[in-house]
Amino acid sequence: MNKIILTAIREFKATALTPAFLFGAVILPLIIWGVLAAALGAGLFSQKPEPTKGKIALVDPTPDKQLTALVAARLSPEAQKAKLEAMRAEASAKLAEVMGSMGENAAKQAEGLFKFDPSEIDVESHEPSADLEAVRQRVRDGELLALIEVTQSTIEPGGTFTDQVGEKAKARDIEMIEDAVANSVVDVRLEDSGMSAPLVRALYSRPSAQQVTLKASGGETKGSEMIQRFLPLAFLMFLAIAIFTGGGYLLMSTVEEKSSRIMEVLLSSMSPMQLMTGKIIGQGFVGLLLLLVYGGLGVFAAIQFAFMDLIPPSLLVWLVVYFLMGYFIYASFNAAIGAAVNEAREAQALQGPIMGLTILIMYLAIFSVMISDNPHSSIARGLSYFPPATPFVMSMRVAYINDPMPMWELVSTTVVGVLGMIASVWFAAKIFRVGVLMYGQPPSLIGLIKWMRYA
Amino acid sequence: MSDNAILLDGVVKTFGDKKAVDHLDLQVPTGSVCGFLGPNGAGKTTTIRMVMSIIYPDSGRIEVLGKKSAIESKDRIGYLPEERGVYRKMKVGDFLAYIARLKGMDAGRDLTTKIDNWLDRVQLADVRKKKCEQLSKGMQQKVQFIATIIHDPELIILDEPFSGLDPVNARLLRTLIDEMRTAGKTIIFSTHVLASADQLCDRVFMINKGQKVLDGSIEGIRAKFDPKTIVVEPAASNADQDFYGKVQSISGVHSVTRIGERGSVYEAHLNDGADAQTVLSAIAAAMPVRRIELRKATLEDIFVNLVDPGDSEDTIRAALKSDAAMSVGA
Repeated sequence: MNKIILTAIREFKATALTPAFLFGAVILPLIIWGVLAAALGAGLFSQKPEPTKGKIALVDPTPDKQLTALVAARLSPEAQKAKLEAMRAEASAKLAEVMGSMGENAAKQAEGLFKFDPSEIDVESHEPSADLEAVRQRVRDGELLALIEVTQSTIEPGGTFTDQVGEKAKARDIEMIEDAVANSVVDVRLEDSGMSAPLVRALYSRPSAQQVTLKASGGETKGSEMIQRFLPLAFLMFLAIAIFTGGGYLLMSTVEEKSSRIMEVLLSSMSPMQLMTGKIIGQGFVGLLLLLVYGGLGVFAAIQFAFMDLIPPSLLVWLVVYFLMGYFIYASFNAAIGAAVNEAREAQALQGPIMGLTILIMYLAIFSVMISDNPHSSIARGLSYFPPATPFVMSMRVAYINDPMPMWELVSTTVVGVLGMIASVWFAAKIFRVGVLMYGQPPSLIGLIKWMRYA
Repeated sequence: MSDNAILLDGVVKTFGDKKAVDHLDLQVPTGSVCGFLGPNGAGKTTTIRMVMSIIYPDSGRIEVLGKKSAIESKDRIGYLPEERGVYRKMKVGDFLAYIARLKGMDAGRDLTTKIDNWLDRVQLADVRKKKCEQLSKGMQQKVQFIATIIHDPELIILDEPFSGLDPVNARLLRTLIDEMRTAGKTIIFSTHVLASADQLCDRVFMINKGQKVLDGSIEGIRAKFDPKTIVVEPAASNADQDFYGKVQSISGVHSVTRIGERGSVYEAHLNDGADAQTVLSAIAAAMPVRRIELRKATLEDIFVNLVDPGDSEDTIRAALKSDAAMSVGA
């Protein structure tokens, strides 16, 4: 046992404590997330624009300067604040509608975006008959932000107005000013037709949907479609990264031990089974480290957006269970292949069929669960009992938190998966035993299976 | 403890339809230094791997250090395989510590000191912090040797330890083996360098085609393979005609040959049953000689004598290889 632990520790150190691994797999993701977290913390995303102080000239064809009053009211600081608040409320509602509580929380995060000091913009009213060339010169000189020419035809349905702005005017201000003028023109039209503009606007506000999922078991959950779609894929990605990275390193280190002829030195101290077990465990911790780094970052993100309460802790336990199951199955394949070949190049030929199988499994898993959006599709159910696919398909199926798996299915697939895992380790041990001291022409996949007879 | 460090009894190992080891019986007495000889492909490495329980015999019994198999006594054995390497990216000190710990030693200052002492002993004092890949091949071989004996094993098995060593390192290795013999270790080494075996061994055994063809003490074997040849160098440089007549007439001499075309050294071959000492005295009495000696049988003579040239070199290995690829394990 001690020898297995020693081997595992060496294997882990040799793989994970190298500058390349630490940088690529651990430090880089941490830096990226560190920068993101710092950015969120420092409010980089809620950078507040500088308020503008200035004046615009408005050519107002309405009697009693009705339009000027409306535009001035719309550009007042109080109106700007009210408008921002309305935008924020609408965005929150939209996010919540699409993404459930995750969206609400995201909106809360982004609240800062809608809070900044309003600009102070005065309105200078001109008669349509006034000499506009002098006013234009003031715009050119930067004294005025803009000259807006509204004519009688603008007030008619389908009308337009011109906005002549100075070089230094900010796009945000121009947009706000044009918006204010356009809305005020609509108000003038409504009032001219004898309707109350605020009333009409209030009547036009759309009601928003509040989605609730009614479960077969009788309870109900608040709709969270986005997380429902996002979580199974995230689980699949985490698993694939952790399983295939650890397995890949295992293949490389086994080939290296063979090609550097250290194998027999090791076998004089321990049995091939001890060596293989130690190596698999050591690289398993490499995979687990990756799972922790990426999964940990996922949890960090979940907490950041405060939707952690939507993920039951049992799901994380299942993620680890399926990681171990998948890792042992694929690590066994890799250990066997690594032991059978002399150098990395030769491993590719043997890896081909396994890669093909893996891609097929991934495709079927995504297709049967995600695309069909049904964790209980017959393909998904069937695949769950095929051990190389069990961890991937099941990790996606359990991630359907609104549509939980029946307990009997969880238990039976786990039993089949674990049996498959034991069978692969047993198979790999036989190949490993025969392969580690064999130099020369590497066998074909069929030849590899034949080796089992000799072990 | 048993008198034999290693005991093989009727051991058979078959690869495909080739018998790599064929009913091999072997005893290695505790405390002896044994040379394990044989042409390439004779089954030496297979035998050693079976002794180490790296592969298992098809039939027969193996005892190592009094245990049923080496698995129970792996920590008491030091094994330097023919196929040997190092972890290229590991530091020399770390590598040796790792191997020592696999052999059951505890990590700590004692181990570090021991590693330092050994590196010092083989003139590699400054490489402990270097990566193995930075060492020359010769240096790596020294590190591999230290890895074999760092845990102070009772039984040391060296498979072709001299292959690839330069003369200086070969001498260093011989010195170390001699020291270990003095310390009472049992040592087995397979080799092609017969001179080394000749100088170092108490016993030799030789196998060919998986079967034992020779087993015994060096002295016993020399006696058995006494070639009954007397080497003579006459004092007179121009003694040719005279020499043949005089020597051939001595009773017990079968024939006389000259070594080399123009040489002045002759070999007198004796009849079976002739007493070498009597003939030796008779030759010395018949003429003045610069040198006269009873030729010692070297292991090389015995090797060549016992091994059919067709069995040697890689013929057997080549034949075995295709099948061996199919069935190493147990």
